[in-house]
Amino acid sequence: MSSISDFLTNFLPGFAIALGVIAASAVVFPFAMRRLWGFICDRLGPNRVGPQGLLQPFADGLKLFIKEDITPAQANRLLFLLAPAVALTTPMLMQMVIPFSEDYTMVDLNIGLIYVVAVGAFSVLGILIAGWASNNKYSLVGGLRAAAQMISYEIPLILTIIIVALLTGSLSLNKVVAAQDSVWFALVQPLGFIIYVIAGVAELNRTPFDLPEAESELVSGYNTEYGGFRYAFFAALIEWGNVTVWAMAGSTLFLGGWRGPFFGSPFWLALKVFIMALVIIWFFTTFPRLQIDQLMSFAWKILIPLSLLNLAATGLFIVLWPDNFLLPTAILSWSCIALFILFFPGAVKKVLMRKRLKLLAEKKLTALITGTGRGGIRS
Amino acid sequence: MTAEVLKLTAPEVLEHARELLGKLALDLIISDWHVVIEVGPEDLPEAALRLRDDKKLSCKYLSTIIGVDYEEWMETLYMLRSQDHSVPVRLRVKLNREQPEVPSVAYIWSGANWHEREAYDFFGIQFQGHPDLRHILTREDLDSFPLRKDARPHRKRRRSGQVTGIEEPVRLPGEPDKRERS
Amino acid sequence: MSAAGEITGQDRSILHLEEMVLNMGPQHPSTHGVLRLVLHLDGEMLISVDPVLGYLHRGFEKLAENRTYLQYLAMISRLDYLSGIFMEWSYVRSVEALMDIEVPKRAEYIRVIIGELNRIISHHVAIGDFMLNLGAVTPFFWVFRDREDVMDMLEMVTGQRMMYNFMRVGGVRWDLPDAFETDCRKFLKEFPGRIDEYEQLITENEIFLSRTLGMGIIKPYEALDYGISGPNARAAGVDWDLRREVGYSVYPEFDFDVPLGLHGDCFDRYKCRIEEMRQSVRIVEQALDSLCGGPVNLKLPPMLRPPAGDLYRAVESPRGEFGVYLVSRGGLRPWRLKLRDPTFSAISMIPKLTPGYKIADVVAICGSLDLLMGGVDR
Repeated sequence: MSSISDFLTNFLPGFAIALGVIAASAVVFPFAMRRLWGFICDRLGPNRVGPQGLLQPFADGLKLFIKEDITPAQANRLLFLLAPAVALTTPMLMQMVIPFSEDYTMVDLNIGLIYVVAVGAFSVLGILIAGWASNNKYSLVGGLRAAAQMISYEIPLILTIIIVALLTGSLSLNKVVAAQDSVWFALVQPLGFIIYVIAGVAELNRTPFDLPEAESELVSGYNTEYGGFRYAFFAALIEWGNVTVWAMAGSTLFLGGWRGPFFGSPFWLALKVFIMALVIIWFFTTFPRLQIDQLMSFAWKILIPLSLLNLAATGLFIVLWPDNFLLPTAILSWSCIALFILFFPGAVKKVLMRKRLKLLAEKKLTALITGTGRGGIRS
Repeated sequence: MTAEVLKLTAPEVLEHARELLGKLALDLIISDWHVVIEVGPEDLPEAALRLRDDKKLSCKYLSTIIGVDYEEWMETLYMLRSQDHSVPVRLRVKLNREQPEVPSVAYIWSGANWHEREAYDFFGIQFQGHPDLRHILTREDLDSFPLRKDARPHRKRRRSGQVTGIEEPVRLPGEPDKRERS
Repeated sequence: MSAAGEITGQDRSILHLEEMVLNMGPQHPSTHGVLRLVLHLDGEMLISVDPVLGYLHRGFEKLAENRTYLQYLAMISRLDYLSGIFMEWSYVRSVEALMDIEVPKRAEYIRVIIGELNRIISHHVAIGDFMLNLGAVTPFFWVFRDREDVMDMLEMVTGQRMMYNFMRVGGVRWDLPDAFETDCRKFLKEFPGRIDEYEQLITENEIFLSRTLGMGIIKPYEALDYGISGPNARAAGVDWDLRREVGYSVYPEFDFDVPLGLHGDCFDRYKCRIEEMRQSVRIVEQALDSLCGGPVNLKLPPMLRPPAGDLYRAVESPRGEFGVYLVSRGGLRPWRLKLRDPTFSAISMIPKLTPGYKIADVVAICGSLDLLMGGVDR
């Protein structure tokens, strides 16, 4: 008896809310992306279906829903059907521990952070299964690339989450939000926040890290063989669901969760999620794609050492000044960022163009242009 | 590499080529500021090598290889240019129409590889010593040569609407036999 | 395994390594047009690549043997369709040279103006496609937005946005309309600002630099060896531009620079095209300033009978040296028409340039070479 009432009062609302959030993100964000992308490209984006094009996602969903369900003949049918379901577990399960408001969390785990990290790894599985089960070389290559990339970028993500745990003193997400009553952790540890964003973008397989679904090379990578509604599953529900839960986790860990200026409510959480998703869309429209070896070397050679050092420094400050360690941490982080902004853009360009500049100086050319138009040597 | 372009005129180039090639050149004329040198098929590699390696002429750039079918004979033309002077040099080889064979210059200019394949594809000119002579622009198993003057359409369409003469294409080397996804 | 733990000869067969044959088939988002590349891969690394051509073969050279000179003019701009005016120009030059005709001055200036505008829009597509291959989606839309302005002007003059059919033997089809000059000058004034916009987005981007610097290097002697011309060769350091060396049409009167690269990698090819767009703006400005009066066409009869002879004429198209070899036997129709396409040579270099790179780099290199299959397959 109690289990049925448990089911009705605890499980079903939570399940419905989780599914609703994912569905809402699958409706809102692709449309937002297409409109914003259009504005950045000096065009309008879809604005015909409904007022300002707001019904466009429903039209797209309906179109994909009524398409023929094609499974490749040689594909492993069970795994082929299972892959989207496996990949959907990450967005669904991760919402269980996010505090939506001061008194509502679906499951108040006291090891919430470990749970977040563990559940985040399921999306790798889903993509790998999809790539293998499609019986297609392109999909296989896409799936393998995705697995390598996502595993590499889990590590800076985890290290940064540990920093948040250190700053809070607890692994429970409710306590994390409670600890941000005076100042957000993003202001204390901006370096950590930026690492979280970069590693998250790589985890989500978005540009500039979107090699697994590189459209111009692999014809859609691991979801080449998925058509119709299964494609909508991958491209809308799972992809944007992952973005939403990553943004939710990020807002909770770094931006104060449901906290807002006058009152705390889920509205502020939604606003922060929306802004983080807009940043992802902005990255998509601006950057080209990174090459697989550059991607991996960036993760292993730059991000992981950086986040390890960050973690070590934070731990050191907590040991040295157990009562007010927030200030030294903030000073260190902000100075890192300041150094970065001052020196990095020029430095990377200089390193990459060093040989070129040396050659230019040797040949005493000021630009890459030479030669004149006066000609006509015709005899 | 800003080249010093020599102000060579076409007659100068012609004289220099004449003394360079000596007996190899059957005929040298100037045809609207190009120097046209005619060589025999067997002498072609030697003449080409000399033209390419000469310090003054240095025809390092092969523009294209053209096959022409005059009805009594066939011809291959090699359009050469140099970075050092602005007089283009044309090499002309007259071939027997029944059995058009000429040594390949693919090892002299690497770009000649594909141009010779195209000449073979369209005319059936056999380039001896070519590493990989096969059709390039038409079907891999086409057995006629389209640009010859006596080429006829490949397919015959009968009155009943039945189309004949189409076979299964040949697989490329490296392509497996079974039907594969990608 | 042996006693010491090494893998002995028989055990090696357990690690069954075979090379994978991947077909970047004729339908693929980034082979520009219908190019088929058969890639032999070892994991992600390329061992060899075999381009298969002919999917767009339309038999242009054979068709020419059964068309009069005027009839063929309507067809030839479909060859390298993004730079159609250069195909017409080269063909018309060869017929005019055979017939020994002097083209009126005003017609020459109009040819230069339309030609350079066409060069601008062709380089636009080259850059947009290159960036799309690398994964940046925004420059593609920006270049197509800017192409619209130029194509509006070209439509004003020729009536067509793409297959111009504008050149005639002995001049051009029509005179420039009155509104053209003001529109053109307005465009030329704001266009360098747009090029700066592209450069701001692309050239200083670290990801772009790390993807393109040092990639797909063509050495100068290799470029000459394979017959590569145009921006691909100039980026490699080969200082050769037909507009300057041969000095056809009225180019000797203009003052323009020819951008040269130093290394011949993808970045240099991209930069050469950007700078060539700027130089084209200069040429068009000078041509508009020196437009003189006079007829734009010698009214030649439609059935032309050039005297017997053979010649080769080339122009500097946006992809390189586009040449036409024309053999005439005094009849109404050409005896042999051979079209020399620059992209044919560029693709012949792909099996040499790409082994050792990964798939994504192959795509980037093909994009930087600016391939267009219309001219290759003819």
